[in-house]
Amino acid sequence: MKCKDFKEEMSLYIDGMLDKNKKNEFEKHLKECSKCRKEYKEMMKILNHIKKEEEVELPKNYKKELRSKLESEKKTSRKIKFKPFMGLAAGLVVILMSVTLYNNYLNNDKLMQGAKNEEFSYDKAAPENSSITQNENKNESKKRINLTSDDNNMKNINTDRKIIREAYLQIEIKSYDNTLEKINNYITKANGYVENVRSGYDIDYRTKDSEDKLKKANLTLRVPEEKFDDTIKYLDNLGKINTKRVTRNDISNQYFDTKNTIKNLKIQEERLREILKKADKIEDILQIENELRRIRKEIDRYTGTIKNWDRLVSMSTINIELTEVKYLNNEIKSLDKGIWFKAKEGFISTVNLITKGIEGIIIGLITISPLLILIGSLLVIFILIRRYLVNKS
Amino acid sequence: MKLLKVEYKLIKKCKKGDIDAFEKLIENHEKRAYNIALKMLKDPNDAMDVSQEAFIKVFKSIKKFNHKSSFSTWLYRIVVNTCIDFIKKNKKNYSLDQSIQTEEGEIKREITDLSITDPKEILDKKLTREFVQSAINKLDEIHKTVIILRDIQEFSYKEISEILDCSLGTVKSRIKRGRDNLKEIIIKQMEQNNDLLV
Repeated sequence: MKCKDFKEEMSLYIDGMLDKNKKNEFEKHLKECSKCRKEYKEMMKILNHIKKEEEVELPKNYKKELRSKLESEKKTSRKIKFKPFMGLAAGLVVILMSVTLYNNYLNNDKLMQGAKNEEFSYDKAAPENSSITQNENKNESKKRINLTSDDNNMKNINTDRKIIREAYLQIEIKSYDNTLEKINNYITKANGYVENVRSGYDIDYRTKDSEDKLKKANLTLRVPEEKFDDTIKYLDNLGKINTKRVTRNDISNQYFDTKNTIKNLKIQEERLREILKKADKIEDILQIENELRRIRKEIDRYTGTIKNWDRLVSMSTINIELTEVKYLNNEIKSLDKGIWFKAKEGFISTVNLITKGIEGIIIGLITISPLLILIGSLLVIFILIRRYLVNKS
Repeated sequence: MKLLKVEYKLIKKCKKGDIDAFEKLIENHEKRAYNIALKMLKDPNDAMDVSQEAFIKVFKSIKKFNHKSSFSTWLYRIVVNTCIDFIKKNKKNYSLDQSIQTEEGEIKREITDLSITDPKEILDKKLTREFVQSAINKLDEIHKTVIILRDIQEFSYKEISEILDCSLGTVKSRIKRGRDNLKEIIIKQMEQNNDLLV
């Protein structure tokens, strides 16, 4: 071992950090080299001096002071933690309040919509069934016609069923004018006509003052009976159907009863005329003429109802309530209502909700801004006073 | 193992802010930490303030303690770092006059101490405690810290590497160089003193 290595490893040897081989080498050199031995002894002397130094005892008030420092530290750390929580809590309260307020306002809307939807789904099942029964009816009546035509051609008219068909639709649409025009065109093509239109603006407190007022209309359409189903189908695709009601009123019994009554009355009329010809006394003539007048009146009345019924049967009535809306969430309602559709629906409504919410928050903030400014200035004054006091102390 | 378990439980309590548990936890370390600070800063008041500051830091950040190293080395690391920070911060304030004054104060005390406890040592005029002490103070921070930890507090090499957050090799070379520098300083001081005496 060289003296240079000795110097290098002396520190490690002192601390017992050398392995056995190196330790032996080191000790060998220590015996052989007097210069290194001197250096080692000097170093050991110094280190022994250091090691002999006794530890100084803790000052008497050390623990007490540390305790009080720790306690004050705990308090301040708690205070520091408390502050952001306060801010957070305040923010939460504001958000909660606005959300609940907004929800209140929204819930009414949603409930109504939910009710509408329910009604819709309930109603939707009904027309399907009725259309089936209708087909069956038609088949039946056709059969009957065939049967009766074989039996008796005279009774052909009488066996046909008289059914008044009526429909009521509540549709939400996006573009009011466009839809109205479409309906008009379709109806004239189908040889029907618009019986009654009543239109106006939707009076809603939300849109009362805004520029984009929404329109609303009540329509009464008349279409030939055979075009009824097609028309309903066409109207279905115009927008979002909220309510749909299709009624069929079978007036066959009354209809034919009335026809029979007319027939009887006519026979009576004929007879009375014959009696009138034979009558001699003026008194009798007057009485018979009176009777005749009464019968004639009745015939007219009954034929009037028959005509009215004929009209109602041949031309079905469709009542439509059109409501213009801004957003049509369910435009693709006819599609399979799968999970993606529902998700999309939810997404759209959430986006709408958020935009509306932000709108509301901005409006709310601006409305209470005078109050906020007041509170803010008070806070600043408070902080300044506090800082001044702290500096003073 | 049992001791570690006790320590573990105490640390858990401390994480919840239990001061009593914390006092128990640092009971065995307070004196050592104070002594390290005293050796590094010389002034007893500073040593007390800084070591206490270190304990508060430990208390505040005990939630972040992850049991990767042992608690004691973690604690001493904070103590050493706090001391080094303090020295760096107050370098300007440590004017020559002050340091001499404090050194004198300590020297006086040591001499009286020596006369009572170890009279033989005074006979060896060539090497006295005041020389060693002032020589340690003249070392730069890194070597001073290492000498204090190794030769005064007798931490193992591994512990020192954990406390100073450096490799074992670095610790070895630092201790060696620290001791060499210390020896050099002492020899220089003795020569100066001899000159003065002559």
